[in-house]
Amino acid sequence: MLATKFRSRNGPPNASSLNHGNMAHLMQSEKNTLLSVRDLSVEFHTARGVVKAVNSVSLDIKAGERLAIVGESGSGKSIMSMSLLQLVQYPGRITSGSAMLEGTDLLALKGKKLRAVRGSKVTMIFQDPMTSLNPVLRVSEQLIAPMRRHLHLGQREAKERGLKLLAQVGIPDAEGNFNNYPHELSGGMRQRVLIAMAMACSPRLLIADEPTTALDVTIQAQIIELLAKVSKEEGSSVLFVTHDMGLVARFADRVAVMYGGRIIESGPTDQMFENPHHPYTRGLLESIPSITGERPERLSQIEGTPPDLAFLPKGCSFADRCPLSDEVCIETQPASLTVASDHTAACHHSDVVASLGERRLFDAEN
Amino acid sequence: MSTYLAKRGGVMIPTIIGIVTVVFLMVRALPGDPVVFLLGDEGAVGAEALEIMREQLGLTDSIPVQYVRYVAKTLTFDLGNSLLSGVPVVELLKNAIPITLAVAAASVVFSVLVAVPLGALAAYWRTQGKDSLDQGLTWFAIIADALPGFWIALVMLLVFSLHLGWFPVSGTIEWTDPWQVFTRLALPVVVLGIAQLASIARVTRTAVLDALQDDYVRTARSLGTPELTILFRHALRNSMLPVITVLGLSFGRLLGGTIITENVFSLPGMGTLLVQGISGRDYTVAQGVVLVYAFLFISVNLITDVLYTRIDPRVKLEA
Ligand SMILES: Nc1ncnc2c1ncn2[C@@H]1O[C@H](COP(=O)(O)OP(=O)(O)O)[C@@H](O)[C@H]1O
Ligand SMILES: [Mg+2]
Repeated sequence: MLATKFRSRNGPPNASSLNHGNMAHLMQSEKNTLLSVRDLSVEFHTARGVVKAVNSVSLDIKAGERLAIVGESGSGKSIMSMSLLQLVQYPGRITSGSAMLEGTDLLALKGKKLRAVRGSKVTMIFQDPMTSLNPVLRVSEQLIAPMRRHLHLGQREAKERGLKLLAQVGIPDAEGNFNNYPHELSGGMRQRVLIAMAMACSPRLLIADEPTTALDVTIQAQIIELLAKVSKEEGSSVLFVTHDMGLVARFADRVAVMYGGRIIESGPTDQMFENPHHPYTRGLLESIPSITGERPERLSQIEGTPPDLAFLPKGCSFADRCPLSDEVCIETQPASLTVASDHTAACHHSDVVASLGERRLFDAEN
Repeated sequence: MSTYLAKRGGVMIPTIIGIVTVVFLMVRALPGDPVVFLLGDEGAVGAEALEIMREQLGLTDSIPVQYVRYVAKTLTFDLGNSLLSGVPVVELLKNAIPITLAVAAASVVFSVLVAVPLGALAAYWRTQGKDSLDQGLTWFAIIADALPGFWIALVMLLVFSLHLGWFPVSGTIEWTDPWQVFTRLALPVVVLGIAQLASIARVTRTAVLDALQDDYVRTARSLGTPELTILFRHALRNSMLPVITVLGLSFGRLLGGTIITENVFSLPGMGTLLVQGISGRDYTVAQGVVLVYAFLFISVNLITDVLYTRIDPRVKLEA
């Protein structure tokens, strides 16, 4: 079957060690929803007009679950994930929605209460470790600050815990690096420090926005493994933003695909890979290059460019790139429908996509 | 660091010799004859008296001889005696330097304390979509740049000293009496400070606005850092290099400003001494003062370089 082929050819041989099989590590808490996002929209009021970066996004993350958000660059992944901590800055504005986490709406928090959640219950790591640490402050100062703030640790206790954390995230010579400035560390080491900072207060949810995109391929795997390890140790859920379907297969329990500021399909990783219901998801899978070293047979390519978020079409925003699009697609926006248990897709022709089997939907490139 | 300082110190010696030379030639290029200033013109005292005086002062020697003697003496901190009063120039400078330094330093502190927070807040509010302070600063800068310093000084003197009588107009400075020092220095410090406010605020604002877009600010925010800490500890600290640079570069203008301001407010600092020296053709005094100004200027350059390393650990000084 095509589906198993997608899966087997992306993961390196040790992929399963990371994925723990089908959510095996979720056994206990399988039913508890940790975060429930409903109808989240974010807009930027710019000179060009209103850029609708996030459009009515809804998603759930269970306790201990790892959810991947995938999509092309510019599809709103970063803005969506940052808005959960209200980190989107002017001229960006959250225009609707809620994000309930253990009884509190993250989007309604203000001032002190908001800051109490940031860095403790919910934390975030970002794409570029080279610039994400303050160059004029020592690693120690930056690492200790959140612990002192949220855990009310004294200087000595915070230092002790900081050193332990550095060792835990695999920083050699923790004692020496503790007092270094960021520029004295490599990119991979800096991302480890940032992970240590994010995990310092045992967050319920860790948001990781393309944490490996800026790193060397060899280091990428280590960082992913580290994220899997620490989140499991602390029992944290992970919202993992990426555009790399290979990483999704190895890391995520569930996947949500974003396109044009919307989630157009979401479901358990296995189902998404085996039986995608949205042509865009299908296109992403058909275009995964092999990383196992075999010569890739043929890779498909989705022609065209993502929609301009300032001028979203009235119908399906994927219609102009979709081989299946027709009148209906151009006229009406597809609603998000349940296509299988725990699996939703927003496409007028999801049944066609689901029944494609081995046939390709997109033309292969040469 | 210490080897760096030693090397920089070594480089300073030729610089200082160069300055000494330029000062020597400049003062000699002034029109007018000091002896005539001292004794009155030839008709009044006779050519002979003038000649005797010239000889006493060593002015009959050729310029190169005068130059060599002057350099040799200067290197041993002997700046000669005032041609007019006979008092050693070093003594005059001893009284004048602290006043000028106090006024200059206080004006830098004053302008930094006012302009840096203003610039930082203007930048911060701008990132939040509120730019009235930013626009206010722009207008202030335009006006402050357009008004000449001496005019501001005169207006202040008129309003606060003569009309309102809040500050004394003249009098020496008693360093033992802090209140008296304050009342004598407050106006000149503010006048000099205003001249710097606009440029410091603008540079701070631009640098902080840049820094606030940086990724580490987002990281800090994502970890629950209070906004004021983000602004002043994270963004501002990363914006200090351009601010220090501007302070260093504008120090020359500041020294120039002290000359006018001291004269307007009758402060017996180096600026007053310099004007007296030049208008009285008192070569030795004028030379001595300009020399100290030059030395101050070089030192401030060195200090700014060292400050860079204190502020940004990535800056390494290499001589
Ligand atoms: N500061 C901004 N001003 C205007 N539009 C913005 C701004 N930041 C982001 N956007 C818009 O939001 C869209 C989504 O951005 P982003 O979430 O960073 O995409 P992704 O992370 O998926 O690559 C961008 O395509 C852009 O149009
Ligand atoms: Mg992004």
